[in-house]
Amino acid sequence: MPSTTHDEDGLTEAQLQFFADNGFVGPFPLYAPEAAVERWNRAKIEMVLSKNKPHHSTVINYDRHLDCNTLSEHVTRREIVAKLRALMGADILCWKTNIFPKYPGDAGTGWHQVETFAAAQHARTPVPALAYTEASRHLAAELTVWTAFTPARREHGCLSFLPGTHKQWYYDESRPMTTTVETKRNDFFGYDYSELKIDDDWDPDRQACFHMEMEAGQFVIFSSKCVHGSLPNTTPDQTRLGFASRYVAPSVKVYDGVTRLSEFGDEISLDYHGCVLVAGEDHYRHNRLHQQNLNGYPFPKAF
Amino acid sequence: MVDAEGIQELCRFINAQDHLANVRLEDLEGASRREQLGITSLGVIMLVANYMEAHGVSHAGFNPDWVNKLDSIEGIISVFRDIRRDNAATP
Repeated sequence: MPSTTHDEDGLTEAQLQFFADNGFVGPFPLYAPEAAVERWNRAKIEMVLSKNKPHHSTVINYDRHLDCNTLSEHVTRREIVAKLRALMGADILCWKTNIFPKYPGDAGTGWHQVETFAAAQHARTPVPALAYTEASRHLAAELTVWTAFTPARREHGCLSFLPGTHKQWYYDESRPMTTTVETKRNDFFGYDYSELKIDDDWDPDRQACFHMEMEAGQFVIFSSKCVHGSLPNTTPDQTRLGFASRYVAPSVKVYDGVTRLSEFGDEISLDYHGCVLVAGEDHYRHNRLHQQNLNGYPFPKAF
Repeated sequence: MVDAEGIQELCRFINAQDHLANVRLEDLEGASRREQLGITSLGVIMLVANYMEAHGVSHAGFNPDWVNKLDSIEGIISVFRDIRRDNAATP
């Protein structure tokens, strides 16, 4: 559901209903296209020159909002948080960010569906990153905001959703993935996510699909439980750059008892990790909070 | 137009970097994009940052607009030229 709103007033009733029905809503404008590109260039410079990297993995590109002021500001943007509040309530933590480049010629990302963000460790029982301690009174307790910092149309490898699939489990994320990908159609960062299908007869490619084409500077909000993936980048020379910022209600325990992450053939310590309170209050105190990033830049609180 | 002096300067500077593999001048002359030399998008930013440092230009002066030019060899050479000009303009 495209939106033309430029305000900071959250979501309309129709947009809320669209999310409830489909599991995603957007795209929404955030930055002008040129400003988005300029902002990402600035973020790249900050990341490369950072003296306070949260970890030193070049494979696991998580959480650079913790040492990159431009991204620290981004995850707390009022335009984003206002819409999150409409979906998940007044109290919101940003718990993770990921960078998703898709280079010319890169394959699409296979269909997947998650809720606990269990780490994909080869052939081992995945360790959940999130533990939900209570049922949410709102439409969601976990949301991802995916911002396009470059054009993300079909040819660049835009995000795709299977509308309405957030209402049911089609994959079991608690099972280990054992096989490396054989067909690019199922590629989930080197693993075959289709291995986790609950019903072998269910074919995601035969479901109604929504291709979320976006311009640079737009963002979309979705529940990670909504089955999603992305198309291949078929352009000869245009990299698609998406930045995912992930949010939970403070009742959710983040990395509870998890001290290290082992993914994509690399491993990092989570000693650096903390959540950012982007709106409201944290009455639960389950999670360590960062009031400022690792450079000392204070996180602005949107609400 | 080929900037022979710029290519030589780039070759010399790449080969002085610990984070980049050495390149031969003829390879550089035959390349149009940094990927052909195995230089990543992050590696080229570090290259430019180091060039700024070598010319006494603060990293704070790293112009985000430069990043768009850094995919091509010609663009990198033009950014190096800008840095030398900035350095020359500094009193």
